[in-house]
Amino acid sequence: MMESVLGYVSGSNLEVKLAFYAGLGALLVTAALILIIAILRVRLIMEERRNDSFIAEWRPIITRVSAGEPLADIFLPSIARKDMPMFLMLWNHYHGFLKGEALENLNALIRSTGMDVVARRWIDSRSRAKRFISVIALGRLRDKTRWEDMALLASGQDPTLSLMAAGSMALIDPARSAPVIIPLIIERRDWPANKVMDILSKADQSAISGPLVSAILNADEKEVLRLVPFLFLADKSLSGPAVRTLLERSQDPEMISACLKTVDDPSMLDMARSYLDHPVWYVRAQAATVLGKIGFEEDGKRLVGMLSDREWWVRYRAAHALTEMPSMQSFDFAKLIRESADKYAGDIMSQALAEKKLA
Amino acid sequence: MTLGQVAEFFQWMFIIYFLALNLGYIGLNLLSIVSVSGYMRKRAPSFLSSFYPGFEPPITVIVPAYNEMATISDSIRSFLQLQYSQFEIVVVNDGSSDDTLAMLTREFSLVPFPEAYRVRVGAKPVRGIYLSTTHSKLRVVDKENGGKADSLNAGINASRYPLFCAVDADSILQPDSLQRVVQPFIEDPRTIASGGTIRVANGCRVDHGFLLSVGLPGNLLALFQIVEYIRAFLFGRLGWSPLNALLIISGAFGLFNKERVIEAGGFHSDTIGEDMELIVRLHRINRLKRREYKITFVPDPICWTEAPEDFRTLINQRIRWQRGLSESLFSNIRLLFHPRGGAVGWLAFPFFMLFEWMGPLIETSGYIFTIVALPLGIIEPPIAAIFFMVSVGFGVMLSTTALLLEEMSFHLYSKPRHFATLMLVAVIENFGYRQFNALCRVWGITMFLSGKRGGWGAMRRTGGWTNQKGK
Repeated sequence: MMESVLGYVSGSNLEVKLAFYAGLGALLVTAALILIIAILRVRLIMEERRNDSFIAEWRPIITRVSAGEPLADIFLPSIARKDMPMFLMLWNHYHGFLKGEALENLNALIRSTGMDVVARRWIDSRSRAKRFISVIALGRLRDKTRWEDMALLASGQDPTLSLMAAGSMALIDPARSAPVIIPLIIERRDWPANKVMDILSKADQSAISGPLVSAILNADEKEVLRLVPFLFLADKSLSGPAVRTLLERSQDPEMISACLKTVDDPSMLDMARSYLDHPVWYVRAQAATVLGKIGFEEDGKRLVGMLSDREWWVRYRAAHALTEMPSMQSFDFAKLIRESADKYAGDIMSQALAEKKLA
Repeated sequence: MTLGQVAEFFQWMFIIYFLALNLGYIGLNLLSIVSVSGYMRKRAPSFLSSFYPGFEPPITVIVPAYNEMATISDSIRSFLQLQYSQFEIVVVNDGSSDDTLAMLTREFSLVPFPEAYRVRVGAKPVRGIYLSTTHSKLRVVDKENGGKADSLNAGINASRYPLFCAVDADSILQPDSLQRVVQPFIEDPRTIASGGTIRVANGCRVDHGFLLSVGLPGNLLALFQIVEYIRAFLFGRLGWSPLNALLIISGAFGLFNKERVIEAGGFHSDTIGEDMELIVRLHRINRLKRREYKITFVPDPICWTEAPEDFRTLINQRIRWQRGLSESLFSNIRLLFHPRGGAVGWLAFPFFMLFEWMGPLIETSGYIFTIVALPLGIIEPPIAAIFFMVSVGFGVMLSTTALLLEEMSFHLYSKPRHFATLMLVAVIENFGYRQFNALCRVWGITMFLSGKRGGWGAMRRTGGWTNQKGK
């Protein structure tokens, strides 16, 4: 059959030959792809089975150890080389949600199995997954022995791994990590702001405040805007004056708005008031929000005026600020709505009041 | 010109077109393989989730609903359980003629809310806005009927957050869907839209809007669509994403920067494929204005949808998709080979025009030519057989590559018999289903050219995804 087909094709036109051999090529590629898929699948199944049996054996042990049962009373099976990643992942997993004495028990477990040594070794492994596991485990163990390698990873090219390393450094030694991490926060545009917030919020505020504020004030003007939101994680006695300095030296509406977002200090009330009639709407909206937090009764009148602003968001923020100001709690908003000559002002005030009632 | 010469001309035309088409797809495949390997390496391992929470930007989930009384409550309940730091849900009842609004009012204790609704993109008048007293994240906008795009615009007007996620009312999401799809916005501030992989829910076990386990359906039409979806998402879209030339983000689940969409004029309610049209328009506007932007595809399976299991619904869906494709391309034709068009204008747009839009026309004319030419003796039966088998061979090869991508990444169809079934389906879809599909799409093109308009494109649902058992 095949011979007669080949015979027919060899005697045919160029286009038939082309089509036939293209089809034959596709068939061979398909067969190769099926083989690759089958190999991948078999490997996956074997790996899953091995992991399942390892977890079934170790989960009860970890539970007993974390509950406080002495290690001497528990038989600890030896851990095969292939199972080491799974052990450390399991250990990291439990360490992530347990608290108090259970963490000390888990630390004792990792040491008695010798897996802390493995975790230290893996920090410069060629496998990315092993480096991840190592960085997390060493952070949770507060292990300082591979500090320099950790710092190297924190300044490395892999954004996720570098962030993890920075986070672990902040856990291991908050004071020592600050001068390493803060310059990286300034330099690295590939670190998402939310992840940086996560690291800084876990770090010791007293250790990070000074270097953070100083780094932001001295950063390149283009970078400051990105960094201002981190100021709220710094000690207020340092972040307040820094925000004032930034506001005094900047005319950029985005910068003003970013700075105003961090303001909650009554000493900056006059400054906030000065932005209430700023030509850019989001600066006005932000200033209204600040007044809601730190304003007095006379600011209420200013905010009532802003209910007629041409921009919906300014009206919305002003209305909410009014409902949040402690000095306006006895104010007759229903009368304001009834008697308002501006329909938009009445509508937005009704909405803000309804939202507050349902909150 | 003799009949033989005509036949030879057509043979060459079909061969060149066929080779160009398959080389294009093979190129996309290679890009996807590189892309998915990189993505899987870069993706934070799942064991990090508890260590790696985020301060993500808040998101408004917009759910347009038209006569969705049967499934809306379960869907909303599952959306309310999404794991995300800050989000709200805005359901837009598009003047449903059934009891969708009454059902929502009863299930979620809705009360009228005096919202100062502001119109930023055009939409039909709003009749009322309601707030749930039991779920503070949930609001319902009740408006006059205007179609899906119009409802999305109303949702944008009512939204409070800087990002909005357009979700079909019958979509089944995963708890981490928002966390996954928002990553491009966090990692690159130039991102204006992102979408993820949509998978077929038929055959899966779903309970009250939650996917419990993945399985395959017994229905052959749904099986064909599973292979199609894997192919379309894992190499059709993943291949274009690294080039920033993705032309479609599925309407079933897509995340957008609200201000950039408003600037572009929102969703166009006079188009039938509002999801693709918006993406092509965003490309056109941003490319032509020389603005930096990114439209990104996340390969994670983040949304599951019910595929039609009967011919009538499937035909309607395919006609609608082809009309949507036609409208999206022709209403943004300025992008084609525009000097500032970049990879979109010079690669993706021509590719879609030549292969996705014209493809069905050429494929169908090839079949017609063969059927006519065979009895007339213009082409010999063995030659026709060779051409047909080559076409099948390439079809199977491309589907197998998609299955390889699936195996390299998420291997959702975990049982060996799942893979064997999908492989078998990848072969047999070439004998009838593929031709049927091409015919539906030709019909869609004809309807587009005749200028007929469309509405919601009602889909007949089996409702089976609720408590459905997988194979």
